[in-house]
Amino acid sequence: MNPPKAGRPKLSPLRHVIRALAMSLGAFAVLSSFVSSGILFFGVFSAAAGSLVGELASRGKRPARALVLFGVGIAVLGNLLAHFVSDFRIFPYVFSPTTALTFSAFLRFSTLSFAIPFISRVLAKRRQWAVALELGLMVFAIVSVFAAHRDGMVARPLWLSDWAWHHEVEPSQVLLAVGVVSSALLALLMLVETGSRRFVSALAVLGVLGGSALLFVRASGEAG
Amino acid sequence: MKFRARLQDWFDRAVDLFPLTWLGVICSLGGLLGLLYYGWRRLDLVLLVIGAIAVGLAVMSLVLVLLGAVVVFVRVRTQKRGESISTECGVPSTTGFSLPSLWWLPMIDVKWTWLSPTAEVVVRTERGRHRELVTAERRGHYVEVVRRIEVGDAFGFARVAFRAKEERGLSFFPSMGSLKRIDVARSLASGEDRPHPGGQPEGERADLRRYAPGDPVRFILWKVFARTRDLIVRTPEQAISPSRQTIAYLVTGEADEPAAGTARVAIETGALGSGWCIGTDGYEQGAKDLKSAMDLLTCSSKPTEEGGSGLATFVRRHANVPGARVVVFVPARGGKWLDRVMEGARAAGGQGKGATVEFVVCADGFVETKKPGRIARFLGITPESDGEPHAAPLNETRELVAKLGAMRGNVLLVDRKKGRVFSGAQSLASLQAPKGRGR
Repeated sequence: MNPPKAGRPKLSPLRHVIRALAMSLGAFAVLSSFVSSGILFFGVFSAAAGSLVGELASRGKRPARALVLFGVGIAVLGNLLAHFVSDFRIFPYVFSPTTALTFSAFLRFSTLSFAIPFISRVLAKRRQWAVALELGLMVFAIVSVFAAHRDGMVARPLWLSDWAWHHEVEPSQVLLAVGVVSSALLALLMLVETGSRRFVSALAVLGVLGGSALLFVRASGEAG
Repeated sequence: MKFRARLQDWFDRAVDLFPLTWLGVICSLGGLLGLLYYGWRRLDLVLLVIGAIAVGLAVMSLVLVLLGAVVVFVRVRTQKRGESISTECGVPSTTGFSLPSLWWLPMIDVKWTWLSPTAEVVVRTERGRHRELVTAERRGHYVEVVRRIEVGDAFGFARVAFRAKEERGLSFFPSMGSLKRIDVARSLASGEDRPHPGGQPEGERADLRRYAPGDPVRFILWKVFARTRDLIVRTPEQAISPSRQTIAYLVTGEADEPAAGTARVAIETGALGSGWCIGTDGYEQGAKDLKSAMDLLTCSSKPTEEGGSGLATFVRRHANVPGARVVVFVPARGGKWLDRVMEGARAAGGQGKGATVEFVVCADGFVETKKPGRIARFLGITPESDGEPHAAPLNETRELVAKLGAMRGNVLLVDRKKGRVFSGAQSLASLQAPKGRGR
């Protein structure tokens, strides 16, 4: 007789995909401001891979410190290689300075994009509190994109305010909406992590809280 | 219970009653920081919303979890006493215990585990109630169940856990696994039933030899004497017969469940013959019928540091007839019990005309474990068990079989999970697995 499958997380096949997508979004948010599109693509891909590989690696009996050391090693090795490619003459001489710089940036950012989600996933898998680390990384990634609007500068970032005014929307409303969507994404990450059976009711509560935030926070940025 | 263990127990209970998890504490503090500093003071609208939602969720979780915990606590206190349960280890069975699923409280979930006896609990939801299905992991008779009931929220921000005792008779018998039969003790001892060079000269008068002074005259073959003029007499041949007494002993200790299950199979299938007696550590008086033997096997689950210590006493008490056969069921993992069992086996060998000892090494599968290298040891990497947590490590079992084989006793190797039995040299050969999968 096989035991019934009750109590299993309902989102088990999807949760890794959701998490990997969230990490990719985070990497996109951080990298998009200062790398070229090609490197951005690899950075986003590496972040998703780091999250998935971290999940797989932490399933066995391998201790967390070994896996964290592995992640740190990848990041350090990538940066050393990037340093070697751009700073030593031979590589720019053989190819070209542009190619060398591009390849160096590729090495640096793809390994970093891999290592950070990898380490945070390994830790989160072994210790429940470390899920906060993953969430913190996500929050940092999202907030850093929109940080220019702080201290009342609601017209910043300009690309956002331009887009908003073109569509006859107040930029502060867009920023609030970004906050709600980010919260929903973070909450979804937590829900898939716990694999709770009360998924739907938790999403409903989250919807109520997000709606309240949009309704009751004034567009000027003051809570009302 | 020792003072330190008791202190740890009280600490665990106190932590269980604290309603916020570490994740909840970190997210609440982070949310407050985002809300009050970045959101309120520095007008970061994104963090204002994220912080407000994080704090709101944490507060809601806390309130709902406390409410749910009170409801569940009251329901547990008013729960009726359950009926007694008798089942086999490893077989899932319902207990009738149920709790409300709290479907009307959003985000809140109820789950529980058994602290004592050790069992795996699966919770099924039927008609708004969570009902448990338990699979016992350790044999034994118990008079109460201690559950750890946990009420938590879907995000993992808050949870409250408490312990609940339920008085209920429980009997978990050792599992037989896939083992259908085992021929451990169709043993042979002194007798006259079958010719055998290892037996005593007690069989039929079928052998011939020259007459010696003192031989009875009636055994002289006169026809041969008439033909050859040689005096030849008939003598009894060396023979053996099935043992009439089998003494079985179960060595308790870590990983002894397969041994208990195998002993149960031996008893229930009549493999110990007609006149048998079984004993175990702490129960050296032994049992001679099926019911008391099952009781003895079930009661033998109490963890003891003295595994195998009663073997010598048991053998002295029961193997007091010539040619008795001793079958010792042992776990496939070595330990301190090994020296005591070898000592007991030596005592059995010196008993009366010398009892023959047979060892039955029992496990739930075998697995090859690789010894970690220096770097792996430094990093704390433990040997991989290939996903079979209860399987016995092959290298340890090899060593054990070799040591027991050196006692000149027959060694049987039993894989309870797959229902396989290897005997004698086959047992050692079967352990020469090329690579690590459970066998």
